[in-house]
Amino acid sequence: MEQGDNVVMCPHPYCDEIAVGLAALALGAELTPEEQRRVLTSLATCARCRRRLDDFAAIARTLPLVVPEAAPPPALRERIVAAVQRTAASQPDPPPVTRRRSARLRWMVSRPALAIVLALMLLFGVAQQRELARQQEHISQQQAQIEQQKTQAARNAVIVLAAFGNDDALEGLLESTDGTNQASGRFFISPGAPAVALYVKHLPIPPAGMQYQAWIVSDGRTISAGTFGVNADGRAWRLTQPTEPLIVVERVFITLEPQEGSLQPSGPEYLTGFPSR
Amino acid sequence: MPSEQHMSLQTDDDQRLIRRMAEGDAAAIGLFYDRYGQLIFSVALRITGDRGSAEEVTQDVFLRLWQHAARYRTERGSLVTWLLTITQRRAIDELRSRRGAIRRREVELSETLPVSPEPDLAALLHLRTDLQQALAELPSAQREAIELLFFRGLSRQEIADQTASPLATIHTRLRLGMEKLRAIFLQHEQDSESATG
Repeated sequence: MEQGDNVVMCPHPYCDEIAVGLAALALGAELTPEEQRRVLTSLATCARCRRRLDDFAAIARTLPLVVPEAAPPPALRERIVAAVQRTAASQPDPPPVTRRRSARLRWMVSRPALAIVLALMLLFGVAQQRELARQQEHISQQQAQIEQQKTQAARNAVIVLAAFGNDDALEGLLESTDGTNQASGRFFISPGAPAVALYVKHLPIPPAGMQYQAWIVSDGRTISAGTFGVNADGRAWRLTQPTEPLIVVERVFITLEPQEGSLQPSGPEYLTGFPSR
Repeated sequence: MPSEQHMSLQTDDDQRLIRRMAEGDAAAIGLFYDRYGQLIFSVALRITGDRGSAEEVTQDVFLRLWQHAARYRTERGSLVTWLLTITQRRAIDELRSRRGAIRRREVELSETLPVSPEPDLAALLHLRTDLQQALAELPSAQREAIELLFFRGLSRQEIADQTASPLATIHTRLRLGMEKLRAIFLQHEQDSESATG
């Protein structure tokens, strides 16, 4: 860590805002989409921001240590042991030590209160049912969109924390494979999570029916890290959690594939990179 | 907050207990509880503010530990901070659920947590003292903002509403407070490196 790093100015013009986002993320708050965009961009381009997030996350991990001591009831120990024994009895075969499952995020998403809507429709009468149904459909769609955005936002936050905060995090530059284009990028991978964050720029707009697909070569296997499009500037962020464990990350590369993606790379390779640590 | 008695415990004892749990030895969870039960319960109680909920959270954390013991890899980091983080998140979920907040989440933390190198317990005790001092030295408004977010699970807007402060002020308090804690944290790391180096 740098001495006095906290007082050195970040190169970004909105450094303070980024620090707010990093602090909020580390302490477990949800970020707005705009905060997410700025935080992700900063983490991709600013080593100081990544270090700041590391430090904030470390503080958050140790913050519970400061709580005052409280004695649990004596019976709690027996209850826990008994609960574990029941679990052990129902699951005689613990999973093998080497078996690892990818991190998953499950959400309990609230559903529209359909019963209330139906009751209201009866009160308003048949003539108004259609209008209510139309409005409810619109509200449901909006609620679904909001929930989807919130879920994605939080999921991204988890991936970012894993990819940037884990001790086993790797990073590397993505470079053009043939040097004929200006495309470049950067990747961050936490094999333990596993979590992958990719940033690319200046990639050509893919032809109709095609899109880019990221691949990770790990332990001799080539694993998909998902498909993605690019904006008008050829830029894209890709955050993903591969379903397969990453053992030893050897290489990351980007190919052009059919719209639906490929099981194995089949198109031309545009970018490639190797982990630097 | 590991008590003084924890200082005498060796990290490899923890690892041995985890291995026993991974092999299905249910008695190991009781021994593990003897070491960390009070710590987990204290954190859960601080967050939920209710002994019944704290007991529930504590039991859930130890059950998760039991269920995930086989997947725990010693090289991935500190077991204590892993337990603390699970407890904090689980207790916040409990709080939000009680408040009827719709954004209740279930995160499998065992494999998504960022972890740090294993600190020894003496270092954790030292760090706790430093953090307590640092928190005490923070302006009360900054400390309050951090505590409401971290220990109460409030959103930044909810903190603004509760403290009758503009959202931008809450942002500033969070940033300044965390930067001050970070300065203490970095100084602590530097001191530790000097002591071991």
